[in-house]
Amino acid sequence: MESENFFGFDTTFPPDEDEGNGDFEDSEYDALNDETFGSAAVGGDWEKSHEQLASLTEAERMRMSAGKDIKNLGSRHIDIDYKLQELHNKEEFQRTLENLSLSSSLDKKRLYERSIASSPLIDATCEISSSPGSSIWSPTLGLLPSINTSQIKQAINSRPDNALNSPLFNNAQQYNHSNVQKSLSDLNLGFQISSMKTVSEIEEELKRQHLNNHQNAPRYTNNLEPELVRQLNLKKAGNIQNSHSYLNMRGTVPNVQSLINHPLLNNQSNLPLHGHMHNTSGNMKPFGNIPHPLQSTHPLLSNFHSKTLPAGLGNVSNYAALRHPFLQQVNQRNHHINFPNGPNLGRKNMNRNMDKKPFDQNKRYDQHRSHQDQREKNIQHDGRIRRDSDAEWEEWMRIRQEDEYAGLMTPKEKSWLRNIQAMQLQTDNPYQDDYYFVMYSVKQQRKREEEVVSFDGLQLLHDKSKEGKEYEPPRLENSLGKLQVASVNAPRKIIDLQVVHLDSSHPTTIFQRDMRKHRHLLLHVEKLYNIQIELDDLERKIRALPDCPTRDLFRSKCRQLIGKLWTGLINPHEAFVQLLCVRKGKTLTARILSWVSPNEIEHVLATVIQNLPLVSKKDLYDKRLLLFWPHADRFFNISSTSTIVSFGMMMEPQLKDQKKQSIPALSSEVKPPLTGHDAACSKDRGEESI
Amino acid sequence: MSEIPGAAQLFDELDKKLMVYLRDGRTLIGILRSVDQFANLVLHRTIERIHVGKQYGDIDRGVILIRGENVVLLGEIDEDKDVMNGLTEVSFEEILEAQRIEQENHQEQENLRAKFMKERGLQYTAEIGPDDMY
Repeated sequence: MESENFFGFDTTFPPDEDEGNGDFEDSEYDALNDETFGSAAVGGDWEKSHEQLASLTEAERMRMSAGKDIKNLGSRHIDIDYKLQELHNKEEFQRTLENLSLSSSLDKKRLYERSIASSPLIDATCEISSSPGSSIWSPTLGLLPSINTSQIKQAINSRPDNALNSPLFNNAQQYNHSNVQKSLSDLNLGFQISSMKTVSEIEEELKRQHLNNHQNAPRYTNNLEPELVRQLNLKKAGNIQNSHSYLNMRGTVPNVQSLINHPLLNNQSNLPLHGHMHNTSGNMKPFGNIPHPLQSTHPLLSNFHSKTLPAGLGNVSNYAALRHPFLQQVNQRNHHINFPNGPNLGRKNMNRNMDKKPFDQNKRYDQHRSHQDQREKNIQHDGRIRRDSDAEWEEWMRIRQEDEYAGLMTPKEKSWLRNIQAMQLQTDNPYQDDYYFVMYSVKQQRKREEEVVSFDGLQLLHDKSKEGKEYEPPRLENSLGKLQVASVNAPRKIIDLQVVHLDSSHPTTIFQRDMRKHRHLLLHVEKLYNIQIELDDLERKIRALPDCPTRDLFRSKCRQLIGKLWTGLINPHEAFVQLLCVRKGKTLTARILSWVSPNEIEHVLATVIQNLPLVSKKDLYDKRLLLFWPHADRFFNISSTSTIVSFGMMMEPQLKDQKKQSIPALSSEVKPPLTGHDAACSKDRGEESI
Repeated sequence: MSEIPGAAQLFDELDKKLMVYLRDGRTLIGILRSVDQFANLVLHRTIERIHVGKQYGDIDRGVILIRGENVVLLGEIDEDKDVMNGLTEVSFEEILEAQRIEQENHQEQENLRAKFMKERGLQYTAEIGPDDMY
């Protein structure tokens, strides 16, 4: 009798059951992976534990059947029967959803069988069920700490032939809340002896772990309550705008997590599972991907604390492939939610992606970057395009200080984008493309009466760089940008090159002349630097040598070079001043100062101070003037009062002009130490007035 | 500020609170953080504001990346003047409910119109939606 009927279900093994069992080894589907068994089973020898399990349950069954609990068992069986029915129904429901989601029914069957068969625990129970006085319902299950009975039930019930008469439905959304709720509550209440222990055990563990790990969880429950209610209501309202499932996910997933957190914090073992089952089913409803409330929570739980949960749960995650991305998102969300918020603790933190982690491994900016990395990256890419974008960088730095998320686009990126846009504006026939603007700009030009220069925009002159350009990139309809094409004749503009005419008869703009002068200055600095390097080499050689004629030779050579260097440095005085405006010039001068006598140092310092406003303004970003400070210090220590007085006098006009001068001049760090030092020195020497 | 004369640049709108109106009729308000050559927008601290009648409701959206072609217009929001004159803010369930009702009514009207036309032997096609206008 028992062998034919297992609580109302057909226990005869259909022929393809064996096939299913044998099949899974040679198929493409790897049933023996982590997901199937869960992390618990991977480490150990599952076959052995399976055998042990089988023997255990068999032994217990024998014991129980002889004991006095037969009566209770009987009544419970009836109860169980009812619940099984419920479960069976749900199983069908589960199955039909499977049908919906997977491609062919045959594959589904296979998948089912494999996934069920591959779990060691299920195998064991299948075996057991065939034997009389089936032990599945015996309290022995309490001995198996890591089994979730509902899983096993489902596995057993999921026979291929049972799948056929599935109930009711087409649409996941029609699934009845109360149905689930009722059956679940029944389930929970019914198995208080065996299964509730296990489940509550799990809960306790989860709770403990949860409390240990996430101490700010209580805060979350507070935050999340209104959010929870909102989201629930949202679902009830039948949100029309749910076109983006991503947004949906985002909205509801945190709730699932919160739901798990929330009830677990309550010290009630009976309610929580039931409570949050209900809610999760409520929340999961609109997705349609998450069919079964029971099953949906378990994967979540298993992801949450994989160690505590049974290996048998692993197979659940194989069921619907669709569920996987969800789970991963849940995982990511776990991290997101359960860790403290980032800097900007706004009112509704959850949806404001403080921690910009999920969904975006491929995206370069925005989300993956933490705030720190962001800063570092920007500093590394600090292009130092000095002339044009000094102001921009300054602005950028200031803005970064004000708002942490500001300045995501560095000036470099902006200029890159501007270049692209400028390129897109270039055209071969400006009069056709944008006649009115062209005419307007022509008129402006005539007003300005300057030489015509081609600028980035619609060009009036025939651009020589475009002469050879025959190929026009295809223009796509309804798109916002042109395709960018670079060729040998029209390469992508990377550097800011301009046509320079070497003979002065050609008209040049002031800008170009300035550029040329600047370049000359830089060349000059380079030449001086070469001399400096020679000097350093000589110095090294001198130090290496003992006292010998070569050394003296080197020394004299040194002196020569120093002289040359010095004259080259200061001679055109204006050039020297300009040199001091350039970073390399400053470093060069600072190096020379260590070679040179105090007179010369005085000369340098005097020049610096006399031109202090200009020099300090140029020094704002590289701050190389500070290199002069040690020399200045030493000099002032050894210099006479009169020198100091003269220096003071030199500085006086600068101080007077405070209001007129730009702020950089005053904020220059060289000046205050100098003034301070001056004052100190003069005091020391008892001078009355400066 | 821009190097391109006669052109408006999105750079000027960076790090500003903007209102972006999309082709599907949505209104998003957020701080513009980044743009690119297609005018794709990255908005930060975004809220979606739904207006129904005299009521409006906000939904938090966080960080949003908008594909440039879906933007109809965008405009800067003046923080001081960002006071909804004559409009009341409601919770977002309410506003969604209101919106749903509004859309239902609209739908009903459309159906009525279609029926009316049909009775008279004419074909009624729905008017172009907001997206089709762009």
